[in-house]
Amino acid sequence: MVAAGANPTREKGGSALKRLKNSLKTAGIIGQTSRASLSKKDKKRGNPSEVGKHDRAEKLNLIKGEMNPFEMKVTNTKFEVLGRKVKGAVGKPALTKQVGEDNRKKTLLKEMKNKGKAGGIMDKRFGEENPNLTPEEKMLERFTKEKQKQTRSTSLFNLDDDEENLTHYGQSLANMDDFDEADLELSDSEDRGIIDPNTVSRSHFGGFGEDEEDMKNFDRPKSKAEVMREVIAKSKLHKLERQKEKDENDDVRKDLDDEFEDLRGLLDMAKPTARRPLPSQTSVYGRVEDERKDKELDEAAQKASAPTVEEDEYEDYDKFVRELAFDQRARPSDRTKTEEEIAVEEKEKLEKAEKARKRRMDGLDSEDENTPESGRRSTKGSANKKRKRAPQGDDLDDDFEDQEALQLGHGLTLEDIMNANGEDEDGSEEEGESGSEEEESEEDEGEDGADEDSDIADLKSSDEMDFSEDEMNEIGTNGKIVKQNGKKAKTAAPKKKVVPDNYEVPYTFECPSDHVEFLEILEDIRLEDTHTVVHRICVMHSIKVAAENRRKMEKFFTVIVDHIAHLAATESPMPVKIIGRLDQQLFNLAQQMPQHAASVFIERLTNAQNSYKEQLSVTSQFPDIKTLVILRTLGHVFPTSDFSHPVATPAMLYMTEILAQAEIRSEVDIGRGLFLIQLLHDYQILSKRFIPEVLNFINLSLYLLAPVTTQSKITVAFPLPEYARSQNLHIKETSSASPQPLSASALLTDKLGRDSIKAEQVRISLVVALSKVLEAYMQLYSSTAAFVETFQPCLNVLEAMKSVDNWNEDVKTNLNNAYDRLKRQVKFGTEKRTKQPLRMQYHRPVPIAQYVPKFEEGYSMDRHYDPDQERAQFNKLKAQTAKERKGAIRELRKDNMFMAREKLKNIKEKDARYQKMLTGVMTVLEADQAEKNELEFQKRKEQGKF
Amino acid sequence: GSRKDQDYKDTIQRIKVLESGLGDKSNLNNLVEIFEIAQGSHGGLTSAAIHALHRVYTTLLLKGELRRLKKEESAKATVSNWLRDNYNSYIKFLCELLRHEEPGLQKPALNILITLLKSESEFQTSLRKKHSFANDFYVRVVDAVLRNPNFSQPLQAELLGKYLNVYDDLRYYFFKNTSHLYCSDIITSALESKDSSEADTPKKKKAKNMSNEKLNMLMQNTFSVLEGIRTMPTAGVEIDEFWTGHPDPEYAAKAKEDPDAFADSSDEEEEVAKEVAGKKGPRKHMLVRLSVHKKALQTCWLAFMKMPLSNDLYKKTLLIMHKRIIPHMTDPRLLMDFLTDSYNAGGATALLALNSLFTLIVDYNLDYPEFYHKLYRLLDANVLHLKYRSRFFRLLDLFLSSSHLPASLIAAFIKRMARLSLTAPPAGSVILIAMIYNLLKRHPSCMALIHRDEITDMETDVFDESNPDPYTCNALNSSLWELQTLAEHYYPNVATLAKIFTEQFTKPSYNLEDFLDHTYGTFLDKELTRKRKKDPALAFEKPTELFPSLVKVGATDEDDETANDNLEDPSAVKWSLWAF
Repeated sequence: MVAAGANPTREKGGSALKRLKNSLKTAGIIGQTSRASLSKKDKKRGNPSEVGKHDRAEKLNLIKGEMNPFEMKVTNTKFEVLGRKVKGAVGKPALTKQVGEDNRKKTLLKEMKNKGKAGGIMDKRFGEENPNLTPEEKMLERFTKEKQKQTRSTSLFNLDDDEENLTHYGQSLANMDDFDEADLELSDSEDRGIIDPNTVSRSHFGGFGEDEEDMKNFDRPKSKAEVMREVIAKSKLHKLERQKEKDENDDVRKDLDDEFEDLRGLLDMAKPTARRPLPSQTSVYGRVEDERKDKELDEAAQKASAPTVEEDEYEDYDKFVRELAFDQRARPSDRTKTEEEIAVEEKEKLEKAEKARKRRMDGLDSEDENTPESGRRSTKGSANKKRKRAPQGDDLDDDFEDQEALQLGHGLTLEDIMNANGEDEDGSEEEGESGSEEEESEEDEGEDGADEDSDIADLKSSDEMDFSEDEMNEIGTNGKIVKQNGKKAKTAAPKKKVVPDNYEVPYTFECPSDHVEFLEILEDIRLEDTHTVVHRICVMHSIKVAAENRRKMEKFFTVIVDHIAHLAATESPMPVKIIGRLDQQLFNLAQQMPQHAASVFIERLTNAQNSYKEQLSVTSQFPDIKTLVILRTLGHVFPTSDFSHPVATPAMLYMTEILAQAEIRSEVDIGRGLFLIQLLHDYQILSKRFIPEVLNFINLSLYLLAPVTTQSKITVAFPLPEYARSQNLHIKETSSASPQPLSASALLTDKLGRDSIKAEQVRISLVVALSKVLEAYMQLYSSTAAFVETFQPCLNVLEAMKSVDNWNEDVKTNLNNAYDRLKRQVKFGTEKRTKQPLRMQYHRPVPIAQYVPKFEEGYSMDRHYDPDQERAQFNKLKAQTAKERKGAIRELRKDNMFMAREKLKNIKEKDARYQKMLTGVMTVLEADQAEKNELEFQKRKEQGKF
Repeated sequence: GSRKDQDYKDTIQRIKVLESGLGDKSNLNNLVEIFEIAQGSHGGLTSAAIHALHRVYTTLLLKGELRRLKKEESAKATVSNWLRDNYNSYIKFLCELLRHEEPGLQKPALNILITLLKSESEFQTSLRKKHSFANDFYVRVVDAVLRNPNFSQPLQAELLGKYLNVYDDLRYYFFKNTSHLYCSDIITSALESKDSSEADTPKKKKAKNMSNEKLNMLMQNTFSVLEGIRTMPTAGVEIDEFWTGHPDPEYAAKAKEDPDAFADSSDEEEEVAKEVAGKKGPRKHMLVRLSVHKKALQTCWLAFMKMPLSNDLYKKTLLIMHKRIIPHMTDPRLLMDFLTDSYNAGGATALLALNSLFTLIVDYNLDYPEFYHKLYRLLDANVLHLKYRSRFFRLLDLFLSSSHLPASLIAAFIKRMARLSLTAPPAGSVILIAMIYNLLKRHPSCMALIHRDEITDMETDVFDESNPDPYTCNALNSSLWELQTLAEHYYPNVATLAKIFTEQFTKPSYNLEDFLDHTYGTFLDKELTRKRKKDPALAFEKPTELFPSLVKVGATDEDDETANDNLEDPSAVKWSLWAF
């Protein structure tokens, strides 16, 4: 038993005496007793050791019980297993039994008694049910509750409650009364275990009488007056300190000022060199300078007129500050870049874009900084950075620049001026060209267009900053500042003009929101000037000028797309140059609104697809010129080499669908198909992706065009639709006509009737064109693995076609060329292949999967290491339910036993009561009988019977 | 307008008066007058009149007053003969109305005819004390319907939805009458062809053309009705709806009382059971037996198939054959010749016949020699561009699913499919890729097709494309270069999918169903409606010209070489082909 008792002792640690001391301390029987010394946790919990704070006897009893080794029950373990924790090895059966019994008495017994009874009184008094609270605490809590209830019921504006209204520094004075710093030097949490000297001196060793008075003094709460005095003293002290600090600072500053005078001489402030304004700042600087001069003049005038007392020692300083403000700062290196530098930059930019494109072509995500749009963003960012040069040590004020911008005044911003200039200048240039040299050679015109458009591109595209600088430079070198946009140019323009009727393109336009409006604008404008108008609208309503222009420009983008289609469909001959320029404008605009551009083109594609699906056009299933031109521009706006592109991919799908499925009914259809094929070639010029439909179409078209006798000779190794055998598009007279360039107006637009096409001629031209395009594709796919198989059908067709005897000489050479070339390529491909067999499964051998045993750090028997998470959780749940079940059964059993006991007790009580009643009655009866007997005996005795 | 309305109302009123007057026998001439109104050009009046006549004739018919009597002398006979004549012309008129251009008149005419058929049959039943069907009447109706030049959608719907698909007897007799009609028609056409061979006078040719047109129309009509019949019974108990009354009233009653007794056993079993029981009861009525219905359908379809079908009808027939005809035939082997011929025809027809042929091979023990040879031959360049592509490949997958097929055969199919992928639309390519993968996975001996370590010293590809025999075309020694080209396909999905061949074959197999039902349209829809999260990438090179006559080629070494090789760069002259 002793050994058993020793075990838990060891676990608790310390000797029995120590433990006793400890428990006494925690019970609050020895050591400090103030409530403040209790930890917050204990307070909250209502620590059970507080039970019966005041009757020591009870507490001591409890401790005695805890310390009694005979109440402990220890179960010996047979084997010690490392790392295993056994629960319930030590227990106090008597105590737990008692606790259970008590709890049942409180709950179950009550219920038993109330069984079958309705009604009763519910005790809702605070803390009545909590056995952990002492009666004092209960009373206290009740009191606070009561108080809270009252305050809650009174409104905020209750003036009667004047206790709360007295404040000082926003704090209630009532609280201040309790404010005794001296007593509370140790915070609540820190003072556990440390007994404050007060207590020690008062209570330890019984306390000493002589200190009684002192203590009284010390302990006495300070009066209000005393507190206020202390507060005032403190604030005075602070004030003094601050003043002292300020004086010191002043001294230092004075010293600095004195020394600065020397420095100033070094800086050579007296004669600031008249700095030539930077070219890029000419306009701004000029104005600022003017204003400053004006101001100075004003000031001087003022000074002269009314010299006041104000102009004292500070006037000097102010002037100096102003000088500093206008002083030239570190001179920015605004030199124009050399051509080499520009070229290098340009090259780098292109290289970057090309790298991104290649990545996209391989189907990878283009690296973030490499994507054009993010690239644009980053360059823009750097541009911004450039504008705001890094802050330097001698920067006086960072706001300075902003201030300058503000001082521009007149509601004009830098951008405004920039834009106005750009537009203006372009306009005048335009005038010069379009006016004077109408019959300029085509190439020149093209170049010009490219030039000026590249300017625009700069304006639109990434390097806004660069552009603005350049522009400013130009203006600066010219030494002129154009103030208002329209007038000067307008006056200048007519001089250069040679056009007789004073024709002139207006400078400003409303931004048209749909195509009809745009057509109205264009009513009085020559066709050649369309792109000028478009350009001016773009500049006028540039997104960079105002944010709300974005919506306008988005609409205008749609308008341009519409107009391109419109031009292609209505003008004859097709104005390729103009459409080309509009195409460039479209390209520029798209750079600013990629999302919108995509959605516009997607919409067009959807329409085209729908009209194909519903067979809206009766004459031809192939797309009309509008769609063809839009597909052309689409290929310019979006990169067609991407592995997958949201716009280019569906566009290609649409084109191939047409090529594969649309029925070829006439030469027009073949012409349009040819156009599509050439477009696809342009699309794939970089990525060289394989398009089966193209070769199928070429084969089929050649098959259809072949003379009747030749057609039957062709080995058909390509898909041949059912209608093909009955279609009559054969070339009848092979030798009649020589091939001509294909007429776009005849083949692509529906306007000219079928009769106007000289059928034979067109057919022969188509054959030549097809063979040429086939050659182009041959070259495009020259490196593909299955070149031989891919072009075998074409070879068959070409062989049959060239074998026709009486071809026109041109046709013959063309077909022969194509055939020979294909033959050579096929041979080359076969040879290449025999050298390199197909090895598609050539990759590193993949190692066999291994399962290394898993070692667990700090393995414990009590934990389960199930790798299957679900199963582990299930098992855990199962164990928990089993445990709970057992516990519940045990509890229920105990409950039953308790109830049986109680019932028995009741019965016994009842029996006892009955017994008692019965004995009582019997006693009375016996007494009566005895009396009666006595009486009778007496009577008989009296009668003298004896 | 109002006068016409008034006239119309008056005439309607007149019809009513005349009809009510017919209650009395002395007013029988009213019939003639109503009939005259019916023959007028006004649709509404015709409709009203034929309905009125219908009511009158039905009562007369049920009273038996329309019977043609033998004794010609008696006044009663004269009257009933006269009535009969009028009735006949009325029926004739109704049949003509079926060919009316206006579906609004066709429908009531059909309804009246079929109702009259019911009345006639009931009358005959009551007369003979035995169930009878007025087929001579029905023949006229069927004939009128099938030879109808204006066979309209509503009429077809009415006929099928209300009658043929509902009532078993109507359907049975329809089959029967149709096959009779065809037998006679075949004879006439044969005669005609004989005539035309003897002498081809233009007049006769014209007549022949005319009759050909008529024949086509007849077949078209027949097919549209036959195609619409979807309620062929599959068990004896399903035959329970009769337009002219149940032929076995007792049997019907029994069945109603004790439905379980008959529900489970099939028709044949029942019959056998009855025979074993020693002919306990009388043999079931013809119309209740399933085999009779099946037989009728079979003869009808066979008769139809013997006709010179147009290409369109031929395909349509093949299309529904395996699901809607073969299961309802008593002896599907009769179709063998038809199907074999179709299969040998090649092209789309063969594809369509394949399904039915497969059913015959599997379920009816048809032995088809050189099946795989023909299957191999079916794989030509057109197969991927046909509408029935998915149907064919579903079957092909099934045929090639056995792992016991020789590797040389499988290799031939793989090589052929790879070859086809070079001319296939993207939707077809994905099917082929998935299928080739599955085949390679199933037959690892074919892996040499995509991976070969030793260098073959043969000059050209050993695979003989023109060889129609899959066993001897030597595909196993070839390689699938086509797949490498497919990996460069312009459509990213195809390209990505084609790249699986260069990776480990870890996936057990691709589910072919995921790839079968794509088209250009579905691909495009998917691409066009795709959500764009990021900004789409933009071209960075500014376009110089709309149609550059000289296209800049990326200055790689390879291109330079080729450009040097050929003095004339084809891409450079490309757009100069056009004169804008």
